[in-house]
Amino acid sequence: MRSDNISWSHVFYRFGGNLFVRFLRVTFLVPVLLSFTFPSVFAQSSLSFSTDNTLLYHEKSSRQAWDIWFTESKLNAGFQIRKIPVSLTLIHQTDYLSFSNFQQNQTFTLENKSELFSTELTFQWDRFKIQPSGSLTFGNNSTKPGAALLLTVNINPAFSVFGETKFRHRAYSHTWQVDDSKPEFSQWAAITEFKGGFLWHLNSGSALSGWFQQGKSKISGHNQTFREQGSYQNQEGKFSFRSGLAKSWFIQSDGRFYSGQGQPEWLYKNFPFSGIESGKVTSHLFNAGLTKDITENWNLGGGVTYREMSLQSGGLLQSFPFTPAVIALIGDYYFFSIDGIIRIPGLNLETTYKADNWGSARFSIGWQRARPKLKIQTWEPLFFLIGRKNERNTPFSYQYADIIPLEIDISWNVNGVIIGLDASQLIPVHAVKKAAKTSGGSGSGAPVKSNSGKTVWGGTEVKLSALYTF
Amino acid sequence: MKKLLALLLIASFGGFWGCSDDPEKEEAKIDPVKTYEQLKTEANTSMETVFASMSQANVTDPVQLGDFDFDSPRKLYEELKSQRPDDKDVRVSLAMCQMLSLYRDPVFKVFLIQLNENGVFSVQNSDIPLSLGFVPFNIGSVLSQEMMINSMSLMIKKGAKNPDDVVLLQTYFLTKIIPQISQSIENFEFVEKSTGFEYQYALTGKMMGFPALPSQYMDNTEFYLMDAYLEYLRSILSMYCMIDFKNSDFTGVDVDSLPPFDPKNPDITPYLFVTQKVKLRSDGLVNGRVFVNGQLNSTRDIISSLLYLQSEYDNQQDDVIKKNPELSNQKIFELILTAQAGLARLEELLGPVLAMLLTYRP
Repeated sequence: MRSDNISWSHVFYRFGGNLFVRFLRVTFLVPVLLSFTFPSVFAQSSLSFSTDNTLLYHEKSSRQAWDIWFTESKLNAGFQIRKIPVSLTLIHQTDYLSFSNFQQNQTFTLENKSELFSTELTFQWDRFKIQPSGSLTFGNNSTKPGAALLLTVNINPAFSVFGETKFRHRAYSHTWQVDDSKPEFSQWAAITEFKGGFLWHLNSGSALSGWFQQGKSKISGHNQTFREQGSYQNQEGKFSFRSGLAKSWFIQSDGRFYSGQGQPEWLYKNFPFSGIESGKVTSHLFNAGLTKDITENWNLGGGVTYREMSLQSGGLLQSFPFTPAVIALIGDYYFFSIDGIIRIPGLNLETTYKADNWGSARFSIGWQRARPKLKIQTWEPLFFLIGRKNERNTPFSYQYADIIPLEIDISWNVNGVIIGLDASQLIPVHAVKKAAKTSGGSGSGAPVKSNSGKTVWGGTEVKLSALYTF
Repeated sequence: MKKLLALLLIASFGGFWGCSDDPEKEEAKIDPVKTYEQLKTEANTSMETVFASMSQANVTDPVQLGDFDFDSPRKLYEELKSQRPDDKDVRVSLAMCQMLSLYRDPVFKVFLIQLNENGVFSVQNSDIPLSLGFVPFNIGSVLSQEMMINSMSLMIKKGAKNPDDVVLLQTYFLTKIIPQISQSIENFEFVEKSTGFEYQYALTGKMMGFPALPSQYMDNTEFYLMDAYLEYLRSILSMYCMIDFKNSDFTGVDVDSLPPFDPKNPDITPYLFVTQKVKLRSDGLVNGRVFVNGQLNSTRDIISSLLYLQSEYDNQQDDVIKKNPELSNQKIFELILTAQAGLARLEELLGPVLAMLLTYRP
């Protein structure tokens, strides 16, 4: 066996970590970040900066330590060249996932840190029904600099019956990386993506809007010790409805969904060592509520929320990149199956105050009950790839956990510069285990000091932004 | 526990001899109207279903393999083989059914339990744990000869203390188990020795428990390994059929003081001493030769498997055993040299047994 630290962390870094981080991003961040950004219009020149920091989970005890966090910082300049809107963005993105096990003077660490520095240039001709646009990214993904090109076509059909209606099609992506001091075509992704959006004004006080996106991509490449290839599909969409009622009451509801699936294949020195039947991630979110305008600048609202996220995957891994060749000879395969779902119903109360002279503030508090179900099985074949032995089931011990989500969003207008602070914190208040049915405060959230000296923190997101429009 | 096993053994024999549904004697119910291809599809579906159920249930003991009905597809493949003996798909499927349906045999099950409980499978001199009840076995363990000497030790102890039990086993092995193993070996050898384009046998995703997974393919690398396993198994069972325990006198022989296996200096002399003091069965010389040749053939089959893997030129991405980057031709060559050295040691170790067989006079 080679050095456990090097080989396993390398693999985890390249594959397990990336896949897991993708799952976390999809399940925790995508529902938060998805918004009706389409269509994007560069009406005026602007300069903006934002930094988004999410500490998903931190745990440290004498036995083990966990750290999962993401940061993304963007500096964006929007301007026009011959009436063509152009956007130049500098991006720094870090995903970090680490697990350490401290045992008898030995520390075993699995670490995944994916860091991306990139410069993105986007442009869009806005004078035609069909709008070609594109982006060129120069970046440094992990240790290797590279470049990517993405071409997009927007189509704006004049269907008045649909109100504002837009379709967007992204069809091409190419990535190069500089390897061994020379630029080489290292990875490409064939992307076929369709996105359509609409906004219907039903009457003066009611509107229905939404969008749907469907995409397919195929990733391939070469020239890396460990790499991933495969084909993926995703669908996502959102609808929202808002309508005015009598006496300054408003009703609103919105729903979002995401579904992604694919067959990743992991390779070592261009030789596959995995067979994944399929990996599927889904996320559904539904909100409905009422809002009352107390005054012209101040409103109160409340409603119900429901979120559901699931993950299914299964297949096999071959151990030859990590084991001696003699073991590899007899076909040292490991099978796995993962099936998990978490359902989170909840209630929400919020209030917003808007002041014309300085900005706005929003405060939200709620209650959520998270009910997870997770089944992880691993086994080895009896006979080449057939049969099952040494089956292991990893049970998930929690029946449910009650969580209080807190959010505060503040926006200041300081001499034309709009400064924003968005902060949120999940606070676990109660957890029930399946077998013993005991209560406790463990889980992500505010710091907990237990008798064993374990410190836990998580569920924290802080976003700072500044925007100046010329 | 021993009494319980003896009862089980006797009950199993009683069941066998009085049994009316012996699969070997029962006529396969084959619909004569079906075409060859229809029958083959039916057989393949039956085999795929059994493999799929095998991939869903966690097997903790080799005896559990008997829960899976390989007799049904075996009967269909036997009929197919009688119609077209040159169909390689059928020969490999039949060979695997014959190999795996051994575990449905009640006596073979009891035999496996006894071997396991007496530590025969507990091979210490190996990189990974070994259980002979599962296939394929560990190459390194076979080359260590530990399992062979452990089996020999157990056989002598059992034969000296309970000769009647071993006589029952000998009869059963010679009439039932060894012929089935020989048929399976013959089917694998037919495919191994065939010429022309490389033959590959598909293991479908359904067989592995994941229907959407693409098929993986077995070729001579795997066939030779299964053949090696069967040769080894036949060798051990034949070793059990060498000595006439009923008419042998073990007076003065302390079978419990036989020395344990020494990986640094494997020595068969203490066991040979015992065999020299006892009588062989009337067919003991034949069975002894099968034992010796089986040990050697098993190692030769492992070498053939490695040679075939080394000679392959396709990209092997869908092969069950792949020539992956960590298993370069140089590493395979080193393994071949190791196996050849093991074969030389085995020939040296078994030389006195052959000499004893050649010079034996009843």
